[in-house]
Amino acid sequence: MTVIRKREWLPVFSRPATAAPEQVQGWGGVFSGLSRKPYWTVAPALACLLVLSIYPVLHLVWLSLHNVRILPGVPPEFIGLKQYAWILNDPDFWNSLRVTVQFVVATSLIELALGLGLALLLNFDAPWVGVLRVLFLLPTLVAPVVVGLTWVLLLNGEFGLINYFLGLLGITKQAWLARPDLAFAGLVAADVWQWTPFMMLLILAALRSLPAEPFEAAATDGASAWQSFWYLTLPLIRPVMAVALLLRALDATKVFGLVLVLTGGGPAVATNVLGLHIFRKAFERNQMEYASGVAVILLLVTVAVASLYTALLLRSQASGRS
Amino acid sequence: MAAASGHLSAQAVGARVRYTAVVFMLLVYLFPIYWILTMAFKLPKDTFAYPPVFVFQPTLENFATAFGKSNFLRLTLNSTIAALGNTFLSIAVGSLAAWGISRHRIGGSWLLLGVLSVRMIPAMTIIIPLFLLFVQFRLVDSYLTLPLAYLAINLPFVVWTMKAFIDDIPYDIEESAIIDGCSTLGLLCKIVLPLALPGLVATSIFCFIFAWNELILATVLTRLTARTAVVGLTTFISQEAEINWGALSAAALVVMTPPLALAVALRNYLLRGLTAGALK
Repeated sequence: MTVIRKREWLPVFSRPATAAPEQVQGWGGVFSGLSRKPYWTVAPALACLLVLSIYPVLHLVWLSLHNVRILPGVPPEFIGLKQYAWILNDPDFWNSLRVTVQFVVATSLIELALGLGLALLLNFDAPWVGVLRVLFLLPTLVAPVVVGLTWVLLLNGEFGLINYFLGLLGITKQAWLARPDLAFAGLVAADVWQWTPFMMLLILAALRSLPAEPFEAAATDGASAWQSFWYLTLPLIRPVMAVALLLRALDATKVFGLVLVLTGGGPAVATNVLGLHIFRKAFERNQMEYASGVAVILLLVTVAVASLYTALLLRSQASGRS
Repeated sequence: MAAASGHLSAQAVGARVRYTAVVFMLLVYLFPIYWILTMAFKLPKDTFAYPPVFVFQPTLENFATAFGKSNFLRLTLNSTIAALGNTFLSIAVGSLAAWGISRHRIGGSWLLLGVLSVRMIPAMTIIIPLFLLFVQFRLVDSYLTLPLAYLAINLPFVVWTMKAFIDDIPYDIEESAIIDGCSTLGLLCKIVLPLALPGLVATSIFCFIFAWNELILATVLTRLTARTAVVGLTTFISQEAEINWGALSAAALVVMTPPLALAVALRNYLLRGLTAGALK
């Protein structure tokens, strides 16, 4: 409001080309604003995104509908949805989809639960607590490839540390990366190790912005710590938890480097997530069109999760503003 | 009185117990990082020792192997070029757009939503057409390849977060600069970006760390010239018959040091960036 009032004393001719955000509404505003807005500022970014993201997605869909010949002079043949029929009849594809879904569900739920616990534990004020929180975050910043290498060492069946510590507890050595179920568990453990602190950070931010009054009221009414957690804290931080969960789920569908290094998709195809399946088909077996079709399916899965995330984000923003 | 002070000390004891528990958990939590660090300084006889040795004679031999006998120094330099180049490009192009969107509502909520959606496209889905595109323009395996390719992922991130940071700056200062006849670019470089410096630093850290750690685009779009350190680590593990774990750990330590050092040195900016990117 003050901004508008301030501009009233400006002579019309020197009115800034850059008008304040609260610019005139309605049709008149649209047309007069059209010439003044510096549209060129978004042009480079839009051009980059069109060439590097939008066009590739369209080309990807095109590729998945065509049979591209290697021979020069032979035009690509339109084959419609045949590629998808082949993909849907491929047990390797279904295996990858199943592994990916299992991985996404397992990691994001475990990370949410552990992240909530860690956030509650770290939600207190003492000297150096801020530094401790940052130190917990360090694994999230390490390259997934390095996390994979670290866990290859930890899970090694012969000289690995995890078997050593299990041995101290009287549990016999396990061939972690050689058994399908244990390899999957190891993969989940490595991802949970890397990403739980991120979940903690988001939930902690929500915990620290909670209003004090309802908790004081509950305390005077004689509510136990458990009751005020269950009936006040949890409902209040639920929107943030939902957003954090979907954000992690979205990221977990993209998992690639960690699996490539830790299990290589094996043993056999037990941990062959969609990302690895696409990569191998496209760049090792040279089946670009098949891989494009799988990539389109991966994209659709992502879009489904992402639109849920966006809807939740917009809703929480709207409720935060009102 | 006695009851009150007794209660107080019980609380203080509780806080101390909690603090100790957190520190203990942190030590357990960061143990894998410590372990790979020790691996990098172990002699071959200690690397494979079982039961594992926790006290050992440290050596720099592994670093000598990684940097001397293999081309890991070259790969690290390539990573630096790719990450710095892309961070600079993303910040320059992205902040300009973020300013236009923040101050002039260009494109309205549709453009912002579009940017957010583009940010969620997984690299694995666009890598095949992107590879064909880069082949066509003869851009595979050059020093421009990765700085350009990473724009696909970092640019939407910069636009989205920098828009949030610019929103927080009061408009009045810019307005008086406009009256003094400042151009848009001058405005951005002399007023907006300095005022948004904490946000700018946070955003840059994340661009750098993402580019430094990225694997898919780097694997597909580079060969011998511009190959990055992260790709080097994966080829070590898949191509060599006998893995030299000491040298590999030393290389891994080199790859994880810049992100961790940045995080510790600029920790206050980091927390801002992490929460702003996800919740704003």
